[in-house]
Formats: sequence, C-alpha cells, structure tokens
Amino acid sequence: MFKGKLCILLISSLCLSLPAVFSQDQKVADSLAIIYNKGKLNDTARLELLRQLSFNEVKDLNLSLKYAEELINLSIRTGSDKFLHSGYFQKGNKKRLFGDLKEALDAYIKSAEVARIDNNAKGEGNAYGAIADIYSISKNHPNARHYYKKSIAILRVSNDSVALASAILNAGEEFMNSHIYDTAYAYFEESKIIFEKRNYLTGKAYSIGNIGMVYANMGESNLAEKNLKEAIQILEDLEDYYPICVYLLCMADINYEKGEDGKALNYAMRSLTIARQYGLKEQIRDGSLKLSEIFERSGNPAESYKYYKNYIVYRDSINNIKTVQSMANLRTDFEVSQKQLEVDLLNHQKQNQRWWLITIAGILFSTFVLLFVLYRNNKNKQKVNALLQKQKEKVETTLTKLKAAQSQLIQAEKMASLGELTAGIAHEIQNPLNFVNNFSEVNSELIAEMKDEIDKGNLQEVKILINNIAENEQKITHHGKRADAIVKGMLQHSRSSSGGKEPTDINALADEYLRLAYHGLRAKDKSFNATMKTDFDQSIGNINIIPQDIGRVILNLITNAFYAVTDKKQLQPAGYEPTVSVSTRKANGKVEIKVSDNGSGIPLKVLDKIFQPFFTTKPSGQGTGLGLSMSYEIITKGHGGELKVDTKEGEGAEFTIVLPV
Amino acid sequence: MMKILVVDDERDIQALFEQKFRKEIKDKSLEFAFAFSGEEALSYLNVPEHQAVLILSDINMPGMSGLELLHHIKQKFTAPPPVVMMITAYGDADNYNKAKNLGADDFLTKPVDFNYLKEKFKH
Repeated sequence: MFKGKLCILLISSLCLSLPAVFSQDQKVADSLAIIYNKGKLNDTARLELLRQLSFNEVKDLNLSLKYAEELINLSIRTGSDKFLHSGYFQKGNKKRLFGDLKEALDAYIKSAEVARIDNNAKGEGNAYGAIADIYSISKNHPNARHYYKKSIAILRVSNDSVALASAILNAGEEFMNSHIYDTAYAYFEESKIIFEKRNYLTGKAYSIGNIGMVYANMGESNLAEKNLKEAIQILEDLEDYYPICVYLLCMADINYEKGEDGKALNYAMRSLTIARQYGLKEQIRDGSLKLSEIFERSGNPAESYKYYKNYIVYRDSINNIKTVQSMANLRTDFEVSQKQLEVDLLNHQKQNQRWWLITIAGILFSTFVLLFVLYRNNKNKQKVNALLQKQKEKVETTLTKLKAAQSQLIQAEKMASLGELTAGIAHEIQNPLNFVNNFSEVNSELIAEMKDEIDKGNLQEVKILINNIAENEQKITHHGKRADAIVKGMLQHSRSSSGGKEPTDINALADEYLRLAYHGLRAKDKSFNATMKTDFDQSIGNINIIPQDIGRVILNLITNAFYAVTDKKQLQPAGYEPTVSVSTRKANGKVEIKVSDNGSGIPLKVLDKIFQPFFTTKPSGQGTGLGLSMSYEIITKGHGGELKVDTKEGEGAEFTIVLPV
Repeated sequence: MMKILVVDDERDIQALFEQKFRKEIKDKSLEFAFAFSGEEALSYLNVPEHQAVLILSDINMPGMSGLELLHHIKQKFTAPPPVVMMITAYGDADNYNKAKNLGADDFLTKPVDFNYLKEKFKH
C-alpha cells in the first residue's frame, strides 16, 4: 500500500508562498536601488521605493532584509500603517528564507496586527496565511490549521482571489499532511477553480497534482494518475521541475503497488533523470530508493544494489544537512512555541484586560443606569408623594366635609322622624294632660263638696271624698309622669345616642312608638287610617338595649309600614284594609320584633339596596334615604343583632329585628 | 235611668266619668258601663240586658277603631238604635263626616267638656 507514503514525499515541498505568486524581479530592484540611493526623496516616495526594493531584491537576502527593516522604521516614524504592514510582512519572508522561523513568526504576527488595526483585510489574511505556513513547517498542525482557516475567512471578504486561492491550497496541503483527506480534497478543488478563473497555471497545476495525491492516498489509482498526469503536463510547460519529480515518483508508486513494475520503473527513472538534471537531491534520493525496490522485485539485484548505494549516499548527505537543519528546527520550534506562548499570554492578558475593561465599563454603565433610574424614581416618587399629599389633603377635607354632611343628614333624619312624631306626641300628651286637667277639676269639685259634708258633719262621706281625692291625686301624678315620659322620649329621640344599654320593656317601647307613629300620621294626614294590630309576648320582660336607638328603628319600620299601606290605599283596591302589625316574641335566647304591613311590598329589583344609605323609594323631599341604613347599623353594629326583611310584591312586607338577650 | 256605655282605650276614663257624674250615679239618673276596646264594646252590647241607650266612643283605638264600632252598632242594633256620640282628639272634618255618614248622632272633641256633655245627656 502506498497510502501515507506519498504524503511524506510532499511535506514541505509544494507550499505556494506569496513571493511565488507575485513574481519578483531583480532588475526592478536594481533600478529602484539607484533611485533610492540618490536620496532627496520625500517620505511617501521612500516608503513606496523601500516596499518595492524589499520585495524584488532576491539576489542579496541581507540587503532585502535591510530594505524591509528600513521600511518598518520609516513607517513607524511617519505613522503609515499600510507600509508598516508590508515592512513586517517582507521581514517575515526574509527571515523565513534565512530559516529563522521564530523571527519570521514574530514579524508576521506584527504584520497581521498592523493590518487588522488598519482594516486591511487582504494584508491581515496574507499575514495569517504566512503564520500558518510557519506553523506547518514547524509541524504545529493544529495551529497551522487554525491560522489557515483564519486567513481564508478574512481573505474571502477581501478582493484578492489569488491570495485566497493560495491560502486555500496551502490549507489543503496542511490537511493532507494531517491525513484529513476529505477536507484536503475540498480545499484543493476550491483552489483549482479559483486559479482556473484567474488563469494562474502554477496554482492550478499544484491544485490538480495535489488532488491526484489525495486520490492516491484514498486508493483511487485511476483518478490519481489522471490528475497527476494533467498536473505534470502543465508544470512541464512552466518548467517547474521540483513538483514534476514529486508527481512522477507518485505515479511510480501507484504502478508499483498495482504490480506494473515496467511502468513504475519508467516513472521513477524519469523522476530521477530530472532530479539529477536540476540537482534536486531529495528527489535523487527518493527516486534511487524507488528504483532499488523495483529492480529488487524484478530480479535484478545488481541494479537494485547500485541504486540503493546511490540512495544511501544522498540520504546521508541530506541527513547531515537535515540533522543540522533539524537541530536548528528544533531550536526554532522551541522558540516558536515560546513565542506562541508569549503571544497566547499576551492575547490572554489582552483578553483579560478587555474583559476587565468591558466589566468595569459594564459596571460603570450599570451604576450610571442604576443611578439614573434611582434619580428618576426619586423624582417620580417626589412627584407622586406631592400628588399623594395633595390628594390626601383633598381626601381629608372631603372626609371632614362628608362626616359633617353625614352628621347633618343623621340629624336631619332624626328631625324628620321627630317631625313625623310631633302630631302623635301632641296627641299622646293631650290624653294625659286631659286627665290631669279633668282630675284636677274633679278634685276641686270634691274638695268643695267635702267642705259641705264637713259642715254637715257627715264624716263618713268626707272619708269617701278624701279617698277619691287621694286616688285622683295619684292619677294626676301618673298622667303627669306619662306626659313627662313622652317629652323625655322625644328629647331622647332627637339627641345622639349615649351608647349605654339599659333594661327596657321592649313591648312598651314598641307600643309607644306605634301609637306615636300612628297619631303622628293621623295629624299630618287626616284621611289616614290603618288598623294597628299588636301581639306582644309578655314573657320577654326587660331586655338590655339602647332604648332611643331601638325606638328609632321601630319608629322607622312602623312609619315605613304606614307609608306603604297608605300608598296602596290610594290605589283603592276593592276591600283593602290597610293593616300594620307589631309583634314581639322570645325564642331561643333571642327576642324578635316584627313589623309587618299589607302594603304593596318591596320590588325585588331594589330589595338588595334598601339598607344602602340614601336609597329611598319615596318621592323626592319625602325621605332622606337614611332610615333603613341607620336602622341596620343600630341593630347589627350597635346591638349585635339582625335586621331581616321578607316581602312579596303586591302583598306586603315584614321586617324582623332579632336581638340577642 | 239612662244607661250609657263609654268606650275608650284609656282605662282612667272610668274613674273620671264616675267622679264627674258621681251625683247622677248616686241619684241613679245615669248608669255607666265601660269598655276599653271596640271588640269589648260589641261583646258587651251583645248581651241583651246590657243594651245601652247612649254610647260614647273614642275613635282612635288600637284594634277596632271607634268608626268601625259605630258601623257595627248601627248595622246590628236597629230596634231601637242606640244614640252614639263619637269622641276624638282630632276635630277634623274627615272623621266628622265619616262618623255622620255611619250614623253617629253627635261628635265631641277632647278634652271633653263635661258640662256640655251633661246638657247633652239631659236631652
């Protein structure tokens, strides 16, 4: 099998360097040197001259290096990044030719950095390609592949397809030497297409030949031979003999492996002949070895021995050179590695610095944003606080006004109910006052009569009269107190609640307010009449309530009931008897006071609103809308009880006060 | 002797009448009976020997009102119909007219002028 063997033949052989792409001309260098040495040139002209000189001077490498270094110094002094990049690149090329790979790498890295800063994509890409070449020569394949890829990526955006194709070709060789054939093949195909387009035959031939090498390594001998033959043909026209020897020897290997010793011998002999003709020692060595193998297998040991001896001579000769070179290379590798470490370290430090800068900038920015946000929030907060303060003051003022208005309304409600009571109270006072007056009159009459009886000496009659007078006196006192109680009740009703509970006869209270309400309405509306029914549970006795508050509730419920029946009566339904009933009942540790009427009932749509403040179904001006809401408050909050309603539209309503005892 | 039924929910009305008309009661020219509600008055009148020739009734009473009582009396007791005098604290035309329409024979307002009442009894 020849797989892998051909790769060895190609290592470090066909790398297409840019100096080869752009043809250098010593004559140009010589002419320009005369101009340069005359002096009296401005900096721009000197820069251009030095660039041309460093590029074209191929005869004297030291002089070429000197031009490159002068170009670097003048570029730095004049601040020209464009020429500085070229200066470093040329210096790298010269150092590379001197075999000083470390210095070359250093120059190429600087060239790449300057190009990058100058936004010179082509220069940067070429520099990376050169760096990759150095790594490839130094057998640092991972780094080589990395820089080739970087070079290709950058050159793709530049407008230099030949430079791009060269980088691709060199990258392909790197992958082939690393035995990554599919990638290598893809690169060679691409470079071949680009070179064909640009009609750059050397590049095209290298690409085709290398494709043949890839096929050979992949065992595709026919395709390998086809491509290798095509490449050899182009290169013969171009008189580029080194790769011709390589490709011919590859053909020999292919045929040898196929058992075609005749053909193999022919190709190997052609390679050796050309190598001898042009003094290509490595190809003489490789060709000799291949011929020795062929002759040995074909049963010609004498010829085999002759070529083997030839092989040994050239091998040793090359080995001596190689040994020295290897030692130099080892040192160079070490230095390159050290340089790479320094570069990596520098990059790492730069990255760290950049990271820190970004981090600090980020922190500063975040701090600024935070401060700005806090400042804005604070401003907003101040505005909002000021607004809230204003609103708070407004709300407080409104609340104060509302409380005052509520207080006035409550008072108005009390006075309204008191107004309704006035006539009733007058009636209720009228009765006891009548008794007081009548019994006083009677007593006067009895006293006069008693005097007559005393004069008559009728003591028995006097005693009877005295007893009557005494009884009447009690009745006068009783009715006087009764009138007094009514007046006190009226005053209590109009006053604010003291909040104090006291034992109260709930039946008497309910009865009193029923009468007051009835007579009050009678006094206001002479046509008013209603049947009042009472059913008091005498077993209740006294219960602890705030009498004026509960009295106010009962009065409110009764007044509403009377209003409801009066309202319905005005519709004059046939046989309608307006009736209001008040009853009390004690059961399960609670006292119930029911006020019911047979009026029109409460419409269901307003049933859930009747305990809301200011809700009224009465015409405007006839109700404050606070009666039931105040009643609800008194019963639920003031006494921990319940105020319930049961109604049926058209049939009446029943309010039930439930009080815990 | 004229039998008079006084109907009023105020119980002290009895003591007042008995003392105001103590002489008439003593000389048996007047006899008083008392009922403290309309219902009680009707129950009293339903007893044959209790039939009174004059009925004095308050109008505003819990339960059966004076006007209702008047209505019942005038419908039920026709031969001969008793004299019914209505008494009320409200001297309003509405009650007066209603009472008249129901057959009331007279209409008095509180406070009752007993001298006037005595004169009425005489007639």
